Amino acid sequence: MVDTFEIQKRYFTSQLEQLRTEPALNRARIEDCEYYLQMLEEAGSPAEFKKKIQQTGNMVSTAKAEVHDRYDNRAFIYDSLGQVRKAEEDRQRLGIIESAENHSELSMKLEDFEKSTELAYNENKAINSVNSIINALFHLNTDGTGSKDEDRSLIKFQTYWKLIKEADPDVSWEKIMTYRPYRDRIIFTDEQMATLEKKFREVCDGRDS
Amino acid sequence: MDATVKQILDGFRFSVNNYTSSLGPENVKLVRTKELVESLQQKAEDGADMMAISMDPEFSEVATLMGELASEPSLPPDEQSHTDTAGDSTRDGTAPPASIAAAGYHLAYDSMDSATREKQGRYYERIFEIEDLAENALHFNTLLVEDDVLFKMAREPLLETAKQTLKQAEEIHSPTVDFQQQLAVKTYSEVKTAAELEFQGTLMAELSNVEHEWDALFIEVMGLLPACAQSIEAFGPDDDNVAKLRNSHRFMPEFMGITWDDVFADPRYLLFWNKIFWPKVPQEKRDRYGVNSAEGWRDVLKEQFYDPYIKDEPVPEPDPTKARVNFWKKEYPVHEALDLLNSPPRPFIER
Repeated sequence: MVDTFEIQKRYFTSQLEQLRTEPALNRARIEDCEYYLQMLEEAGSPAEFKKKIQQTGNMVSTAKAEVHDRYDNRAFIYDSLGQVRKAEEDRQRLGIIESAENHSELSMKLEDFEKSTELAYNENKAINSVNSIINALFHLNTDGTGSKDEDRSLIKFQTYWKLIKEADPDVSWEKIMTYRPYRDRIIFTDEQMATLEKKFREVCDGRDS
Repeated sequence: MDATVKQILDGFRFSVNNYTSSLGPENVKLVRTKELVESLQQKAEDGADMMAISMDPEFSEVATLMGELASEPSLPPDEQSHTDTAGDSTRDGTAPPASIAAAGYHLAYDSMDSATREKQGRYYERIFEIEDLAENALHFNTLLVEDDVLFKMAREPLLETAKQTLKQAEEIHSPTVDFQQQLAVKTYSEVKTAAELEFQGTLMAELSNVEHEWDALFIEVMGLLPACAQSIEAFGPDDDNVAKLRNSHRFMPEFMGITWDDVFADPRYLLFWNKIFWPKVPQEKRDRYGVNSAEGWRDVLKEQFYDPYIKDEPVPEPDPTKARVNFWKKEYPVHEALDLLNSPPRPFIER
């Protein structure tokens, strides 16, 4: 017959041991696990521990720690890649997680947020438009004047420029050159981009510079 | 009674008992939940199987109420101790049976089709072995934490998908897909925790997306001159495609220091030309021009659909100082593109 108190201790200790193999990725969970291990020690018995668990929100902190680590790690990746809006969206999720007081509030608030947020969607939409814009500008440098090729390239440019403006109202040539999620995808050197910029100014007529 | 139904109803009853001590037996939602669970219990005893129970409106009402009970305010601590009911087997901290904690796994296993069970069944069978070993739910959860079955269950499908994609990618000759999937196989084989699996998966996907798009633009740009010749071959010469060819012939050396010969000396473009483009040239065209190789097709385009339209143009000079590309924030010679894609100098991101 297993000793329930010892098993509970083993449960948290084993979990802690695993979480500590990647401490940077499991910050909130490690803290949470340590909290319950200490609570268990202080409780001294399974019955007392259970009472304390019930009085402190039925381990909602564990559910919060799990999702916190997930979005915190993801925000770190997006920050490292310069994807500002995707990082911001995950930071907003962290705020929501922090504010939830019980299990159902946690899931409901996150669910509501998923329905309303557009930051990551727009970041991806803008990123996915960039190379089509660059591609169109590249071709506009070689299309015959007044040709069908030129018409097609112009339509392509305008279509994707509209999409990127919808997704990122602040977009400009300067932003394409400096915002890493945009610039990293473009094969051209700064010198080559200066040639494309001239075409960009022509087709945008200075309005979006 | 169906074993899965029994486990689920036992689980409901266990939760109801738990809430009885924290919310008090008079709680309206709790009383309603108890009635519903008893009603479902009766239906199961009368022969209702898992399908019938899970489709029963009472079942979904119980599920909703369980969610709502989690956010019901608890009684003050001093009142909680007096409200334990005689039927509450957990009031002394005694753990419920392992079957309650394992009920969800049984439900998932029972509802699997044969193909899914073939792939995933072994993990569930391991979980059921652990269930048999465990003396109660706490013991079961502890043994699950100490076993690596849940981690393997998350990792193996990713590993398998990466291996399959790698195999399928042989036909598309894409350096970015090959690199990404090889890296995925290596990384997923080495990670030890679920958090690492998720972190590395997200990171690799983001980096790879950049490289796929970079490569697609590279092929488009490097392929401009042959594409112009190809257009004249396909549609016949007209003002538009001849103008495009002549403009491109002048533009590429000025812009990127690239001439026709540079295009066909570029390892990345040649991989595309030899393995993707040439195999798609229809047999009828091969017969018409008497060519049977990628090199032959290149020469036909050059001799019949490129050179004749630029005879009056000065011969362009390649310019290695301009023949450069930007990749992961640094500049490299154009002809290093394939090497770069095979082993990309990705930013080092570690937490």
